Amino acid sequence: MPTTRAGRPAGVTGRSGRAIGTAVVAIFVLFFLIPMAWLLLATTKSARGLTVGSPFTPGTLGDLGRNWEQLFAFQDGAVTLWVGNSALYAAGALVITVIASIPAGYAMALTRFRFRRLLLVITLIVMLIPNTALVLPIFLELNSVGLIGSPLSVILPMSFFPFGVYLTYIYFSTSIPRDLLSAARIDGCTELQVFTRVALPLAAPIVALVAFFSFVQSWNNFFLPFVMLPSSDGYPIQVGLTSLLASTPAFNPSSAGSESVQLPTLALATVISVLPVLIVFLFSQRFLVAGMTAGGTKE
Amino acid sequence: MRTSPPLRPRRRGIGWAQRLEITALSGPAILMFLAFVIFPVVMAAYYGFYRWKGFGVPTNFVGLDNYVTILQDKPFREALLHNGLIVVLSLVLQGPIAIGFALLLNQRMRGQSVIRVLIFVPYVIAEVIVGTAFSLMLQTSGAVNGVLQSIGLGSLQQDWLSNRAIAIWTLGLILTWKYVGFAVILFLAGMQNIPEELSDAAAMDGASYWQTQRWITLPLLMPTIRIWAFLSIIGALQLFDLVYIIWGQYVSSTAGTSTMATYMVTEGRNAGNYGYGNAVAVVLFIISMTVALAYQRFVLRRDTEGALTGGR
Repeated sequence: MPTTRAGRPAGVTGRSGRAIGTAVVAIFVLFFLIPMAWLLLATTKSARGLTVGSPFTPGTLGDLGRNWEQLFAFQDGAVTLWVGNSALYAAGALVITVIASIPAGYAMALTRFRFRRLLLVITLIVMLIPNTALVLPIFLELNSVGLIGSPLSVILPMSFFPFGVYLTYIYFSTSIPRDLLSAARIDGCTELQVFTRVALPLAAPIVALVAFFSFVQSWNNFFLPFVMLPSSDGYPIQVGLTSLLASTPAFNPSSAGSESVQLPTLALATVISVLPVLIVFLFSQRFLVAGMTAGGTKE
Repeated sequence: MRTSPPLRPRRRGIGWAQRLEITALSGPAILMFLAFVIFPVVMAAYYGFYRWKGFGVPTNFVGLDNYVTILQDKPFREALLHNGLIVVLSLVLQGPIAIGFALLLNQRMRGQSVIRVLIFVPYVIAEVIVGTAFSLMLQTSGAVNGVLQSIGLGSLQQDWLSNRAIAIWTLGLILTWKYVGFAVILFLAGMQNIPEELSDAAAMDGASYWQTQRWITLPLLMPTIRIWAFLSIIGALQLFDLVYIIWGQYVSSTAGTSTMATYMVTEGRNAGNYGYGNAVAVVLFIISMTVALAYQRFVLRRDTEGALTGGR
């Protein structure tokens, strides 16, 4: 959605008002920027340089290289494994989420059946359920069917994503004319054919939006894999970070052994684990904000 | 509550074949719902009545004992209090900042789109990473204290994370850093739905900029603010990752930042008392749902009425 606002009144009038406004914005932007900048710079320093030097002078590429080596040498390349696990979990959850939520949102928006409204209300209520409270019972449930430790124990619960159903519902009920579907039905399409031949081809934007939210949520999820996965081989990077954290002497004095991790290395690990989400976000932020705004106009 | 649209080709209800197909469409979602909401909730309620270590079938039925213990346990009450404080801190810190900033951004301004992306970035970063980064910076010998020293404010240096009097405020500030961007984006979206004619008309009638914001933009933004506050409250009640990462599982209760969720993990999973942990899950569930439904009922009602029952 283009956000030109030509014709809107200039806003705070007067030169002093505008100067104050700019100053406030600048302070606020610094508040956001400084921690990120500090973290990026920290990856280029040695452990000593991080504590001794000024926080905002860049380090050297050599130190960045050494931190990189230390990070990927940690527990024989565990970090590579963890990033791969994260990708597997997020991708698996994304696929199942899309398969489950797109047809359901469509059915609630554009078909008629007796429990349609009930399902909609349930979806809204389920979106409020504290996920945190569900994780422990889900652990026991999956434990009883012997799934604990397998990738499915993380992927399946991650794929439960009522927000995706809701977004799809909003999308289909606001942007696809019912007459189009009625016409297809009159032409002899069955309900499934109406969905696959008429609705689905028009659904690309909402599939992308649901996929984005699902990916970010799964990639960032910590609590669920933390509870589900007993062995560090299966960790996603978010849980792996806690292993790194526990091997950092500054946080855990008892860990000053051979495998100890220095602070700049830890900083590098955090930067690496943000990158995938950040890249996806930066490429999709335009349609993302548009999607949020479109959802807002529904009300 | 409006009735169906005027144009409906077949009024006679739907055949069984059609019904089957609709079931097939919504089936996977319903299956997920049963497997990962209904079943766990029922099981949690069941296990919560037992003293159970997680092996085999629970046999040691203790009735409401677990619940009595939870409500009498001082660490749990403290955790509940901390959750309450975090709710209040989130609302009073993030709300005014986000509204003010959204008002500023809702004008023609150079670099506006860049700023919007920038303030939204912390929201997509995982709490684990935010937690790790801030614990790096806020250590006693960390960057924040270093900067304070170098600009001559050495007396303001603190043990930001371990000082019981300060830790919860530190947590509030970190939460602000992470989540205020989301609020700003939400408010900006809300402001774009306010017709420009209204503020134009007010300006023509001689209203100042601030009067326009106070009497036109703010009241019309209230539905968005109420939804944001709702999401914020629910999030604050469930807080786990950030606290667990920064304060670890044992320090958090002494630093005054433990939450119901960290209590659940420490007492339930880590201690191997799964019956007790499930009872805590049920309590957390009931508290969150009560707050959510009460908020829906008394605050959000007029806003969501359209969304819930309207449409078609």
